[in-house]
Amino acid sequence: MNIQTERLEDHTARLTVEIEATRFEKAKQQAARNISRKVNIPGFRKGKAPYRILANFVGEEAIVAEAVEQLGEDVYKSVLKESDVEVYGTAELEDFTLEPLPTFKFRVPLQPSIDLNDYRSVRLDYEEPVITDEDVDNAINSLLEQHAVIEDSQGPVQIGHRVTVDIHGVFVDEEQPDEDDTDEDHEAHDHEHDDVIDERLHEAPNYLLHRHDMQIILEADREIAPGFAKAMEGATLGELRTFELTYPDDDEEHGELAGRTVRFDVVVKKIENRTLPVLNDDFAARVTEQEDQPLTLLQLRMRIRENLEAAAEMDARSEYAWKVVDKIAEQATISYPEELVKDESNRLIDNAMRRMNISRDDYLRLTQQTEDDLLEQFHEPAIRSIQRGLVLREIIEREGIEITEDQLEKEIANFVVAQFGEEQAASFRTLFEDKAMRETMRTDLLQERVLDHIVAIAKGEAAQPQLTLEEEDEENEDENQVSIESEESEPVEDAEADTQGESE
Amino acid sequence: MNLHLYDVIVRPVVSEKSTLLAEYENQYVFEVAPTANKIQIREAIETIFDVDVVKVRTMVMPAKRGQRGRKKYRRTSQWKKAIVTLAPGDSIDLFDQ
Repeated sequence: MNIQTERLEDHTARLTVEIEATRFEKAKQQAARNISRKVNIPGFRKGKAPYRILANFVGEEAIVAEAVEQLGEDVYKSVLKESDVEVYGTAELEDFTLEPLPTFKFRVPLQPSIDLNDYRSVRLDYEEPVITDEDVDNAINSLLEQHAVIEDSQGPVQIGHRVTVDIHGVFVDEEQPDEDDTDEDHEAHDHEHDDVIDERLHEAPNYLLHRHDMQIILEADREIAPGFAKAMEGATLGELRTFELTYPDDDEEHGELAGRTVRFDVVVKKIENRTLPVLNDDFAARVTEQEDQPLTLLQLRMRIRENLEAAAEMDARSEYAWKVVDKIAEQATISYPEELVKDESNRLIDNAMRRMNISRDDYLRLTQQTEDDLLEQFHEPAIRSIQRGLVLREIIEREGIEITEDQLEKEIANFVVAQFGEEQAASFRTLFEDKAMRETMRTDLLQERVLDHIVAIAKGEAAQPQLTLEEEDEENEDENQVSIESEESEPVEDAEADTQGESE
Repeated sequence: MNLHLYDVIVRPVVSEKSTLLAEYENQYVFEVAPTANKIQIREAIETIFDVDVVKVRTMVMPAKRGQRGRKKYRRTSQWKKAIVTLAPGDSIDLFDQ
């Protein structure tokens, strides 16, 4: 067997393999036996027809094709053992020639390769996130709203009320609105409105939205469309209001809706009065009443600010870290086969579909896309994800970052306490005896570590890689403490975490 | 008899059994005209394939009826089969058309 390896442009290799003619002859005989087991030849029982008869009956080419297919697999396996290429994924049989010697040509995608070049010299400016007084005010406002007293109200709608409505918005500028889209229509759809897919179908191009029992707080600064609250003012219970609103041309908040006109049909189903609590020490104490030492308003403000800062810091840090990774990837020499991109795209698509809880076929049908469109869409993200993964993996290796069992244990213990609380920690702790769980945890931890390390590099704070292992460990532990500290402040502030979520 | 030389032999019989006979016994199997006799068959084979024939055995294969569907019969009519033994060293290459 004679193997020649040839590297190609797109990070694939062509393996040209010559084999002995007798070996191919044998394979043909075997192939003929296989075929004759499947084919019915008159005068012969299955599997009993001799080679010549069979060749006459199905043709020599069919036998050769079968032989190539079967022998190809064998040859490929032994070639992989003998040659030094690192293969990613499945090979493709490019060509087969009989003369002068039976020769296979395989095209195999290679394992991605990466050369980080001088990644240690990569620097990037880090911008400290700034939490303004306004941010704190906002957080406090949403906290106030959470604790607002809500009462049913009979009276006409006023600004500041919370209303529950059936709402139906149609674009009326370009397409002609459907005249039937009135109240009856809402009722017709009543039974299906909690079906996600159905809702999507309703959002065909000329719908803006179509929702039942939607809760809206009528306030000027967060409206569906500018002027919505004003238009609703004075409506009574059960009233159907129809009005048209136009988004300003330069509306940045609503993006592509800018300049469009929408006709709203709104049925008021419930009107509620909101009374915000008074912002004083009592309120602060009430919000923090589960704590040992209820806080004063000033303390609450400081606490909120701290939390916001910690959260923003974490966000900024991780964003920064990924930026650095991208930058390292930019200056690194990375090559990978197209197959890898395709696999990664598929993986990303599967993940996305799982998040949306929809099957890929359904999604394609709903968005009227083809499989290729979808792959195309995910092409760029897949490349980025591959590059990031490779960079991380390579840096982990180059910097000798590793997670010892002790560290893993410690991290799991921390995580369990942070996630489930002291009391339940022990029972959830057992979950992590599972090998897969441990591995996930380890991967997460490793990623966290390497990102910390990358941040250190980009800020120019990283020690040289010629550290002894011990020192490396110490360094890692320092970093670890930093992350633990920021985590420790977390569990206290569940309330704030919620408010942030809502103010977004 | 006005049976032409080339009308004697209808077709070679290709089957498992005939392949084995050809391979191990140097005997070749043909379907022949129902009216052909052994002498005519010998002459035809010797002329057409340029071989020496040692022995000819003939038999009349019975018609067969098998049922196919409710009302239809699948039939094969009666035919004559000849097994021709060639002199050692001679052979007929029938299947390389």
